Amino acid sequence: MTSTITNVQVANSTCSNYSKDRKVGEGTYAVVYLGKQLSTDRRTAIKEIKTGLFKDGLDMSALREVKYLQEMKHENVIELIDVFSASNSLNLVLEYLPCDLEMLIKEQSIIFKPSDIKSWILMTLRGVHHCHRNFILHRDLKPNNLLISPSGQLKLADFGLARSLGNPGEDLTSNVVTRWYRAPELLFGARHYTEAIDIWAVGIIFAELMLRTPYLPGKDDVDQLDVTFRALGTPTEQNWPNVSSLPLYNSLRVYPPPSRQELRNRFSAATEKALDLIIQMTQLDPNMRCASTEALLHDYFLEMPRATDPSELPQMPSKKKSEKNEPPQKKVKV
Amino acid sequence: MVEEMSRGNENKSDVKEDESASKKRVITRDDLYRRSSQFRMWSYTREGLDEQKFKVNEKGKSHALKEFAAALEKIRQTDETFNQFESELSADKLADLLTADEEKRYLIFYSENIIKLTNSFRMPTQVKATAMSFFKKFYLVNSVMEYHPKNVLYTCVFLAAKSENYFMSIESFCHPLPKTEPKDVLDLEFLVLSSLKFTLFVHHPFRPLYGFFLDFQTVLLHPETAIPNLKVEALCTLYDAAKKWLSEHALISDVGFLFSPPHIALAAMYDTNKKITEKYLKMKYFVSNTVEQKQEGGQSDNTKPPESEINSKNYELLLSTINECITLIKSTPKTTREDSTEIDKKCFYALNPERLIKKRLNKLKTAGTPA
Amino acid sequence: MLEGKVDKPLSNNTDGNHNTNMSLDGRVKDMCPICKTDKYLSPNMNFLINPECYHKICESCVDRIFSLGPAPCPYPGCGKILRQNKFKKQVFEDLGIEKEIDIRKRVSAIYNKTQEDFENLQDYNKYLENIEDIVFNLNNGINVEETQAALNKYEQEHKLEILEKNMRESQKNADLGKYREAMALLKQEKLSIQKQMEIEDQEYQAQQKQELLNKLSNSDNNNSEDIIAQANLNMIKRSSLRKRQLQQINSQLDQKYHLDSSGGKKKSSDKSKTPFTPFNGDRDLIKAYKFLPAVAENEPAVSDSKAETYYDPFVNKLALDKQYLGAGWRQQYIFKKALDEAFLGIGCFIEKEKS
Repeated sequence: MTSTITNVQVANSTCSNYSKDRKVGEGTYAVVYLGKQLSTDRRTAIKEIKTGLFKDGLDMSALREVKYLQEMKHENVIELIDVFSASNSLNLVLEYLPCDLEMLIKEQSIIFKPSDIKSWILMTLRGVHHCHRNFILHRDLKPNNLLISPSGQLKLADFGLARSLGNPGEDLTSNVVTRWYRAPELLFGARHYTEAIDIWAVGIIFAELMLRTPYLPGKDDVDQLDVTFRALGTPTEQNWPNVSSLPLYNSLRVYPPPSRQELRNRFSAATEKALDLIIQMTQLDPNMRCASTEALLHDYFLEMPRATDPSELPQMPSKKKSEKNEPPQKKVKV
Repeated sequence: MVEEMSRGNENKSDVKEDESASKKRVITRDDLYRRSSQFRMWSYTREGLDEQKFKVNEKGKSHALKEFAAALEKIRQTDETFNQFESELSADKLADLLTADEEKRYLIFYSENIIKLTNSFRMPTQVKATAMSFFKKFYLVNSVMEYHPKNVLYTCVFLAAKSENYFMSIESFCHPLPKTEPKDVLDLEFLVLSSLKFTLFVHHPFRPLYGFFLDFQTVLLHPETAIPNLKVEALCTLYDAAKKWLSEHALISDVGFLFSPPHIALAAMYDTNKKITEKYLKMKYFVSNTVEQKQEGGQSDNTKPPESEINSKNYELLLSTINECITLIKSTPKTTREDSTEIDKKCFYALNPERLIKKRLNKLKTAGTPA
Repeated sequence: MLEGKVDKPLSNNTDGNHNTNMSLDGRVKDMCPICKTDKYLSPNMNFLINPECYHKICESCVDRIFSLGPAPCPYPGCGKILRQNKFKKQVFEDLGIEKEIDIRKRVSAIYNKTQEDFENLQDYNKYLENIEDIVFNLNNGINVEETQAALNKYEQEHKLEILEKNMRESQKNADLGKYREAMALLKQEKLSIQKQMEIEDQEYQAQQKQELLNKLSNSDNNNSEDIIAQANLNMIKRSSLRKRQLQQINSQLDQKYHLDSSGGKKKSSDKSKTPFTPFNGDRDLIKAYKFLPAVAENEPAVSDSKAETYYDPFVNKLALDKQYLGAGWRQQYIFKKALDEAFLGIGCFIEKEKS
């Protein structure tokens, strides 16, 4: 018996509600167009995902993006406006976000004031907090995935690696998060990690905002361990109980943890409270790392100067604004 | 500030809130649930659900009739003997379409197959429940007379496994399935996704059940035992039995569309052991002005204003909701093999009117009686 | 040998010999043309220049020639009257630039307006262009007298304005300077207090150790564990006490130094009127359940129903697995998550809400 794919009347929205004006990016499995939602004239980015490309059906990253973005409605998470199917391709209509934090960091002509950094970290933490209270790990936080809207709001994007916290006892893959932002428990191959891996990434991003250059750039997975521990000290059973039980643990070169003064010197622009927060977010032992709630309640956000209003945050100079919402590189599968 | 997402494919109205509540808006966990796609797009009233099923059945019928007419036309043009028997071959004489009730029973039969299939693959409960949810949702949008459940079932299970991080390659999936090629499963994947309106996240009652198991311990055992001789082992037994109850009864029924997951979980507890569950609910939610209540303790007493959304007014509502849920589950009919074979035949011919017409034509020819 | 070479070319530098001219320039740089002292011989020699004619003279010559009063410039052909107090060290290698900078300084002392004094950008640009014209003229010797006269006239007419502006600018700089000073002092004080506390702590620790040893040697075997446990407890209490003390002191210091954005713009004070909410109003504060406290980590979960924490044999067993613990897994998180999920939507009565 045959099952014909007829014009199923499932979605009221079809491609006729959206225009695809210009192609702005192409990846392994998706093409991104810039366009408009015709009913509201709202600018959108449409990610067109070709189905039938993979032998196991629809790609897992695409599935995850659709699955989680449908549930995460928040000011600091990218909005999935609509999804529709057209001629055997899956189309995600996302809000249009022209630039990301990585571009801002690299743009030499922009100066970051302490209040700007505070504002970005605040918005990032709010987005992360929303994911975590829905028990979803993002697992790929990095400046490249923190998009900035024209009104200055920062939004978490790219949920292709995201995942709900499973049942107790379930194994998770440790091969997640882009290397420079990977928490030490992941580097040690842990299979039962927690939301703390996202907090670590936010801490590293905080550092990068202050230094204007990546804080822990490892050349490969082994080097990443070295770079991380040189900066923050090698973990031992004393300061991280049970670390030696992790699958890939080995006592490499043992570096001493940095003193407070050394960290002050490294982050010369940080106030004492900012330094406090960074230290709390980059604790080696995931159990000692602060949670998103604690981070948001930290005194750093209460001390002067206050976080800049999003509308007053620096933006890319208009000539250099390239179109964002490019499709991600092929992700590692679970 | 909760924003309601309105989409073209949302069903029913937005949430209507209490006037008084909206004045002093506090975000609660319930509001988080209200933001989920399950609440926004896949929650119905009893009436609404029946209405939807009726609509789908009508759609299926009209589709089947169209196919029938097309097949009729085709045969008319290819077979010369057609004109002889034309009057015997009209739709009303020949086409035997499924009623809404028959569809319902047919689907229940296939739902049981989902349980069998996922068990044979040793898939976790989460995958089983999600596959069931996908399957039911598909047939809230399409009729069995448009797509036969057999392959849809396979695709739903495959998609659910992917969605719940229990990835299986298509080859290992198809290998134990009789007469099934990867193509059969993958071709439908896209269709299933769009029928689901691209919502893949399902909230099941299993985790809330576990949470209640823990909270029962807090309320009924600490600081002291609320029911004489109650031991924690009894709660464990209750939990295990309630879990089984959910797997065996709740999954097949439609309660996922009508009640929120905590309500279903509490229904499971209630039906398994009414005494313990009622005591728990009373201690937790039944607030009265008498001093006696205050002495009972075990209240969620670290709620200063604003208070929990559940108070004594809603306690009655909660109880009645739970009872409704149980009633519904108990009234879900079991479909026998004979029943389903009957309906299966009907369905096959609805989907393949050409075969039906040809068969009748041949029969008439051999019988040899002209119009 | 070198001296022999030095003497010859200097006596007549007009022979047009390119080579000797080059070497002459090289020598001139390191030698005062007046007293002919070589830098090579007296390395401490400094050169000064005078903005009148920009001729380079060594310090000792300036002293010798001009200390008795204004005198003409000793360079052949110059003869301008120079004053000793106008001599200064050369800042730029290129004398042309030095000259221009000096002119600019003079002119901007008079034309000292900044952008905020102008209503629109065009007017400000016109003003700046005017300044450029003046500087260009003076620098290249075009209409020098006229330009200078116009400059003087402008100065006279706008004397008050100029003074006012100067005052305002210096005020701003003073504020910024004060702020920086205050911050530096604050940091210093905090550091010194921290160091002090560390020393005190070390002393205290040493003292405690000694006491502990005394106690142990005096007591019998049965009590030793208790004593040690007690000592540890004391240490923990003390360290948290010290932390609190340090925090208190720090916040006091912050207040004292008015840790706010002083010297800042008016904008920030307006914004601070709206109170800051970290969650932007989006936070669930209602506790739907009471959470049982955790068992201390080094004690295994007890299966007795009287135990303080939740009973779940499966999870309790996982809590002993070091791989789980090392990755940050704690059974408390599992319990909390389950409880949160249990009440997610308990107040949503669908039949009611969807009709």
